[in-house]
Amino acid sequence: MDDFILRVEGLWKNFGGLTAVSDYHLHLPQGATFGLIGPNGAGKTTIFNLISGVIKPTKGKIFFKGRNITSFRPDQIAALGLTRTFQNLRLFPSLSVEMNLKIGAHVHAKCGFVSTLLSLPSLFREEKVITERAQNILEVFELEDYRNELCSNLPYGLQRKLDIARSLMTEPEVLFLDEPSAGMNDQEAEELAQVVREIKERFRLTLVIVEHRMPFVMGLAEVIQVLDYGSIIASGSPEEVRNNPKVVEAYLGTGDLIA
Amino acid sequence: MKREIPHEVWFIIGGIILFVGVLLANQVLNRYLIHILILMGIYSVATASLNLTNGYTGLFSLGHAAFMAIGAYSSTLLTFPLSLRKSYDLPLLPSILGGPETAWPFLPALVAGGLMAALSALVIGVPVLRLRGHYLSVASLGFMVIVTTFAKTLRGITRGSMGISAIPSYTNIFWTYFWVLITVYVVWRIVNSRFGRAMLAIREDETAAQVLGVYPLKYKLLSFATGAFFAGVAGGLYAHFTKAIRPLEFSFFLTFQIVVMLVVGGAGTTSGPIAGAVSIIALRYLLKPVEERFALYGLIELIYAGLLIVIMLWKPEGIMGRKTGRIGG
Repeated sequence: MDDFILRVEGLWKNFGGLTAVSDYHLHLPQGATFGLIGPNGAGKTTIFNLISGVIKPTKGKIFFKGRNITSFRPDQIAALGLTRTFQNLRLFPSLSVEMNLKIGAHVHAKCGFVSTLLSLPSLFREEKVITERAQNILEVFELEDYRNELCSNLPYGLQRKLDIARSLMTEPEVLFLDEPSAGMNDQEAEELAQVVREIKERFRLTLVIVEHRMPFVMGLAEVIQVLDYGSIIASGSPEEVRNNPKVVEAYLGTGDLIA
Repeated sequence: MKREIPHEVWFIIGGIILFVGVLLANQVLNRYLIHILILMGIYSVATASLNLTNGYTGLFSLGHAAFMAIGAYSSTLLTFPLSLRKSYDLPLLPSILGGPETAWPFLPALVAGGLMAALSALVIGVPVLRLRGHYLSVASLGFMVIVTTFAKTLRGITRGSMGISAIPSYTNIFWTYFWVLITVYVVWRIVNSRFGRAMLAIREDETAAQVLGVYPLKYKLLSFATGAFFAGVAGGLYAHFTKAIRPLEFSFFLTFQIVVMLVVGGAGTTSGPIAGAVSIIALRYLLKPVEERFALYGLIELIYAGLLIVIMLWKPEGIMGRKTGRIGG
């Protein structure tokens, strides 16, 4: 068995002539919270896409719970217990909040096609479990009042919460959050950070967070990797990273990091 | 939480009401009206099956008439009377299908027609369902052309463009509404299960569905094949109702008609396809006397097209669609 729940070795991704990710490594211990930061276009989202199986790497290997998942499809990876959220919110807009959550339970629903058509008791038992789990998640995220609301009618901040809530329905062990606080004001972001801490405890998650908002990720992550032009330029504790001259240089002009 | 009557119970109650209604209609109405009711039923089956692929899974397939053709021809070849086969140049059944001495009864022939359609959906689905949006629509249209071409050229079993006539007149109002009930039940059951949720997820956002554990191709194929099955059954019902089929009937206009019914009724709703089929057929038979009286042939087609545009502009969610409503509830 691997010491690390997720291990990424020498990951490369070329898009035509452009190298989006070069020689990326990640050793993620169970229960850890990692942050991934870097200027726009540094390759953060590409790394998420590679690990969640949405795109395939040019070179390199990804091991999840000791299994080589490099060539797995995203749905297979999700079924193993690794999923992610999206920077640009990919909710199911014309479905209700509850339906969005129930879709997330897909990997745990086993009822066969025939028993479904015949409405066998096993179908109702399973549906009940899924409904209860959705209810539980709605409570954790304080979204009960919006259960039957179309998710496109939710305010933006709640949509971001719903995206995380939905990913938890798959009961992941490793969760990748792609800029969870994007578009939020400082107060909303602070609330979200609290929710993230809470769910990490409650669902015993291992987290990797991509963020632009430095205080957010600095407050949550134990280890931070800094990416620029597709490769890691620094990694370490938030304190180390903050004072690393290379990092300051990569961010020059933003001022975010020092603040 | 208030305890509600489960939907299954409503289905049984609805089924009984439907049966009593059909029984009454059969006693009271004249043959012309029953003819219209049967057509409404057959189109309801076809539209409800299209709704599964187009409405719920978001695969805008335009090849539905092809599946109806496969169902119509397959079931016809199975039920065609022995005594007429020789004079119609139609082959006798091979021994694995019951031997040369018999023809099939109606129900197994319908199911076999549906299965043939489902099988062909699986075969063409694997390459075609990789396409999205317009590409899928165009490819499915291509499939329809292939099927009608085969129907025209495989003279040994389809009699080419002459078509097959003297098909036994098995379809009646009971068979038709029996299949309406089955189709609506199956589609509703699928939509309200993990299968339907996966299909809805694919319609809404395929990538998001995939990272939540849905394998899109599997559920697209399932939706496509199930839709094709009921389209095949509708085709079989149609063949044994009109008693004559020709390749030309299963072409653009049939597909167009079913798509109009679905859009007018409301894609992605349970009652929409039925409402669409019933109202379009009703409209057709209301306009027919007008068309004939004033010799305005083509009026009905024009009205269909006009209706489609009006619905798209003012009520794109269809008659039964609700803007804020829950889908599949």
